[in-house]
Amino acid sequence: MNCPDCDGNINVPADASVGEIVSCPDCGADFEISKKSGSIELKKAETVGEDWGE
Amino acid sequence: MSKISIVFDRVRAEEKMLQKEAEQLGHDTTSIDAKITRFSTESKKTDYDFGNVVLERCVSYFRGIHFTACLEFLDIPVINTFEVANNCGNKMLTSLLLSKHKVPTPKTYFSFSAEAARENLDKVGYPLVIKPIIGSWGRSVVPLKDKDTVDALFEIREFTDGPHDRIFYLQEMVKRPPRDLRAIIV
Repeated sequence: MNCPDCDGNINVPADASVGEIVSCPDCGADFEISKKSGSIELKKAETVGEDWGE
Repeated sequence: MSKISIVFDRVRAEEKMLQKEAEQLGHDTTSIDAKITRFSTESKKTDYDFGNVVLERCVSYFRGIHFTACLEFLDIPVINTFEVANNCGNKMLTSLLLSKHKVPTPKTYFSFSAEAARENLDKVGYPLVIKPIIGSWGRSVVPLKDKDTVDALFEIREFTDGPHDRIFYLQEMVKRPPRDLRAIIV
């Protein structure tokens, strides 16, 4: 899949599941794998918040 | 065989391992994204299929605890319960409970303004450790060894001004060997 930010090539593993995070090897941006209308897409991952645990 | 729902906001290796283990034990499992789930005061248990029990696994503490409250409103069993998550996720509540039940714990001082926190420091003396009441990984845990550090840190709190910045949790500094010490209380 292509990075929504820099159009780099992001490799999404075949066994990856919705909710997993993938990173763009070119620009380093993180994306969450999501499913919309049956198809897989990448959406901007949430940034770490102050209430994020281990 | 029971049906287990794993509620997540970010899938990590742990959630995958939990799902795999549950399936190997013969349980039907499903993963539910907290970020796209909706509730209302009109919601009913039959509107959803959460199965027999929910494992609440959100990385975000606030998201998780509020999601748990919604599930318990629907009478759905959740691990952890709201009470457990609320007590264990808030250092002040945890300290009060430990002390109330005579579990030895470092002396901890609570105040609700910077002014009162300074009075605590003047009375008890340095060093004390300031901790955010909610948070993990030691984030924003700072030893207060002198007045200059206190002035700088309290000024930062005034700027950030989050709701929890108004709660000042000051704790006795524990002398320890140069390694990580963890205590688990059951």
